[in-house]
Amino acid sequence: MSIERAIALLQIQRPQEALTALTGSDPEDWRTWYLRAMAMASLEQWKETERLVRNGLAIAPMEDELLSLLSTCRAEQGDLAGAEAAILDALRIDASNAQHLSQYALLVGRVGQLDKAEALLARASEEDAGDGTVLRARALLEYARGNGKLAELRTRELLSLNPEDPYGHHLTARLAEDRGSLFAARRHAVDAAHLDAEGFGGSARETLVRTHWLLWPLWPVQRFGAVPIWLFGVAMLFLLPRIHRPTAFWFTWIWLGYVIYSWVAPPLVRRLMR
Amino acid sequence: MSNDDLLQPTIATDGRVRPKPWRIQSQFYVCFFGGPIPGTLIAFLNAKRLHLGAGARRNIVLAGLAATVAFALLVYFAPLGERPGRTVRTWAHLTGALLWWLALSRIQRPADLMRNAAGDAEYASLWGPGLASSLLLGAIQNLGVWALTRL
Repeated sequence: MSIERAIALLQIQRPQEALTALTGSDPEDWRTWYLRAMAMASLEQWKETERLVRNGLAIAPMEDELLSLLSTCRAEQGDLAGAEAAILDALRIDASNAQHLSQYALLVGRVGQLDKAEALLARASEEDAGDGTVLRARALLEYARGNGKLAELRTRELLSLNPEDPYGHHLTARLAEDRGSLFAARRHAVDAAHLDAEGFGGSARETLVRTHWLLWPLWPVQRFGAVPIWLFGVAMLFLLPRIHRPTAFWFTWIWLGYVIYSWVAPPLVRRLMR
Repeated sequence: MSNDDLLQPTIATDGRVRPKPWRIQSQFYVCFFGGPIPGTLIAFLNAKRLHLGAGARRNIVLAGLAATVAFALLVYFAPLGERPGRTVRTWAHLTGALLWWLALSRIQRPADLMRNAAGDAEYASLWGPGLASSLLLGAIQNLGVWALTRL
């Protein structure tokens, strides 16, 4: 009874209440430890999560969900090699689990092994192409590779399967912002925050700041990156005086104003939005 | 099925947790103010912090070497003008900035984005190591390249 209640509470993101619900539950049942660990994981208490997972593994050493959580735990604490060992143990038990395969793919992606990540995700898709975890990971991988178009395709697949996937909206917002579609970026960032305020509220607020109308003059910087714009400015300041002095004079002042605006405006907008 | 190559460990175990990486954007300042050699050093160290493999580290070194050679060629062949020190520094700025833009940022970005997406968005401060390497190593680099061209 308390197990089902805890699962329901964890699904609606009430980890504290889930822990209370689990106080009297059977310590010989691995699920007790697993759910306690899940609650601690959503409170980001990684040391405690790892302790609880180990208690669960002492009862049920072949439970791949526990091993997968152990992997997350170790990765969160910066031990990526340990995280790899744990998720590989989970895959040794269930090699066709699409979620474990995606988890491993994201882990090797974090250390720049993108080809291996892609191969793992291809296998995960063979197992379960419609799984949200797999689609999210594939979209993210294309995004990290700089393949905006493919990443958009994947996020559209994800959102067509589940229009309420907060991560899908979050990634759509990022991709829209990268290609300079500010309105689409704002809309999807707000959607993501509505669906999961805790997970995406902060990044949505940042998107709303970056795409505020007062910052529209900084659009080229967002679109092309600060460094190319800056190189352009330096090149002009270097070349114009040799070509046409009056233009150079005006350019210098306009450029100076633009640079100062790019420093002053973002913190100002951030204060305005508070 | 579970014994295939894909499910073999490929993350190096050296038994210690790495320090937090530096921001890629911050490394631009080291590349610009210091020049190619300090920029390459910082990117190389950061590759370890990002757990990047030997291939990526080799690419960083190769790109750094190419930029340093370009820097030396510019100092050697382009006119030094009335203020040689300033000209040498300008070429260091230019080759360093291009090195960051064309190579160093691109090599590190995928792993950096994946790390961020995993919810790990904390970075170490680059102020100390960045200033030290761009001032010290930058000065040695500029003097070295300038001296090389006097031979």
